[in-house]
Amino acid sequence: MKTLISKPSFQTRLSACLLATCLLMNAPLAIAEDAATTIAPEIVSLTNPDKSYGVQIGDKLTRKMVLALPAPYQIAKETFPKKGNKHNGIELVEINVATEQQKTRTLYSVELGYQAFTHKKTPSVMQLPALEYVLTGGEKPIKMDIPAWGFWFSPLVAGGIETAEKNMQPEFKPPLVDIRSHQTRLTVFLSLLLASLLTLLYINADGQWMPFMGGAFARAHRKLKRLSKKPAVKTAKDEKQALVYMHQAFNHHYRANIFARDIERFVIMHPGFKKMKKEIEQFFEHSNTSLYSVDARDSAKVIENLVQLSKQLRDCERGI
Amino acid sequence: MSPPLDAQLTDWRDHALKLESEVKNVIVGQDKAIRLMNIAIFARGHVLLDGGVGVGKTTLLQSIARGIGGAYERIEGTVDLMPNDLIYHTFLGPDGRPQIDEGPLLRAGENLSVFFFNEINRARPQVHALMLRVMAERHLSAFKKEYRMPHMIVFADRNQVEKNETFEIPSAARDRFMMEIPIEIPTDRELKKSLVFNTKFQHAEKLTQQVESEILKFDQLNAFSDLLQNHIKSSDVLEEYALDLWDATQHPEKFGVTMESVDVTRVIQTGASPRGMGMLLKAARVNAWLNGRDSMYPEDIHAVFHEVISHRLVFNSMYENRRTALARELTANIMSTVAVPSPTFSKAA
Repeated sequence: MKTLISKPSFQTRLSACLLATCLLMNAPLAIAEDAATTIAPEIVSLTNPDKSYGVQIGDKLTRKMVLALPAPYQIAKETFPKKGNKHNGIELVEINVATEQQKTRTLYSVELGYQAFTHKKTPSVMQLPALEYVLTGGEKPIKMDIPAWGFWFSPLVAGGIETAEKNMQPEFKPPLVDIRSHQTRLTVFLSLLLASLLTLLYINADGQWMPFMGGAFARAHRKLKRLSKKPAVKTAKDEKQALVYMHQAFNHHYRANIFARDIERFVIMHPGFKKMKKEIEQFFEHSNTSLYSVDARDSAKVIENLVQLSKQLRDCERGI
Repeated sequence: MSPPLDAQLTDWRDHALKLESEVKNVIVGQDKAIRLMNIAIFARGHVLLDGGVGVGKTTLLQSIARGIGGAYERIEGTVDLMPNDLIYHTFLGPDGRPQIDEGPLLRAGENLSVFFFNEINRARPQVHALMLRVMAERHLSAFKKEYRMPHMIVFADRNQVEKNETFEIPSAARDRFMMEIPIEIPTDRELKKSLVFNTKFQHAEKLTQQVESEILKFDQLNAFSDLLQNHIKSSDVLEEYALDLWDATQHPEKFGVTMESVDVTRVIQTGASPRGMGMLLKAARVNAWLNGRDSMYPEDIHAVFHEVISHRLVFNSMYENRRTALARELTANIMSTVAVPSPTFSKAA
């Protein structure tokens, strides 16, 4: 190589000069061809049906395509397939064309809806037909091919139960998973849940939802809550009514008229109330003041306190 | 100028409690009876003592009489006792001529504070009639003049065990007594032992002398009692309760009162009288005051209910011979059954 370059002949030099001149003169033409290549029509996207098998008579198949055409080319209208065209048992039942003009090109969105109307009795390969668009409006018309899309056509089984019986395959019962342990756990869980709910209900519910929730203090608590929620201003009459509820509950448990002097005996008879002895003594003291002395008191506050006390006594009554 | 009301109330209460304390020092095992007698003194009511022989009724009375101050007179009920024996007695004077002197009722005049009628049920009904009249009116006409005994309280004793040569006090007469207080032998074994073995309890006179004399001013008791009765208040709830109790003495079955051994609907012939209920509340007010309150509580009524009411109940004749036991059961059941505050009251209020 070194020898060839270092010792060119005159003719060789002349030929090289002519070639370079030719190349320089042909350069604009090459650039123009390159530009034409970059703006050639192209298929931007082509979307075929998802499933290429199991297509049966009456099924609809849709193809969507987006084509980019260099300006000023357009698709010749007569090259669009016509609605109602049939090809090998496939009928075009819908066609939608939308265009979008861009700076250097035109976008065509074409949606073609086909429906299979073939009556083949055996599975066979079919296809949505290929398309050939002719682009016009430029120096010369250009052809643009859209390939066909093949799929398997599956005919419906003809015949009745006999055919079905012939086609039946022997089936085995699938092995069952042993869920007894899960069932046991579920039962235990549900039992615990139910017991917890019942316990919570028993502890907190004001209503007599279960037969053993209607104790004397539970009833008193319900009545006192109703009384305390009355919108009217609480009067001495309401206060006395509230005290009546409490005394009735105490009397019910004591099975006699109970007074302050009987508290000791009361807690001996009902040890569940022993922890509330001090509060019970205070109640009787306040009750005496309220019922038998002439001093006025804040009835609303008294009733509110009685609601709290009756709830505590109800808890004792329920053995909480 | 009289001291303020509060000071009077406090001062009198201190004295009343001191009287109780003094008497309790010499009479053991009778605390409840002493409290009840103290209540009767301040409620100005006469008292019927009910108890066996030798339980200390006389000593108790003498001790209380010493604490009250004033004159103490006593007479023994016998089958031949006549009304005039209370008013005068005749005797031959040193000059050999018959003389008439005032009897135990008149002897002390207005200074008479305690009159003790021992074994009243041995006296004839004529004597009862005179005594009951004096108890009600606290004055008597004799020797062409009016004798007043405004501070007198009668303590009468009757022995319910012995029935021979006795005259039952009729219900109308019993009603004049504010209370019938049972004097029973103490149940505590140590107290019994003390009563028997401690020689100090065998000298009644010496015991009585240990009580401070004239703790109370007997001649001011009436005025203070009025003051006290006006001072102690009763709420409408309590008044309703008292009325329920009264109703229950007449118709116990209406309130669900039951008795263990008898049909409660057949026991009562007549319940408590209006006078009896008045006395009940008078006594209850004194109990409230002794407990340092200005208002009556049901407990005040309970403290005196049996003693004020039981001797006023008239039982059907078939139950009379069991009166003591039945009356106690009935009053106890009434107190434990009649509700307070009454549910009907709250609806009506």
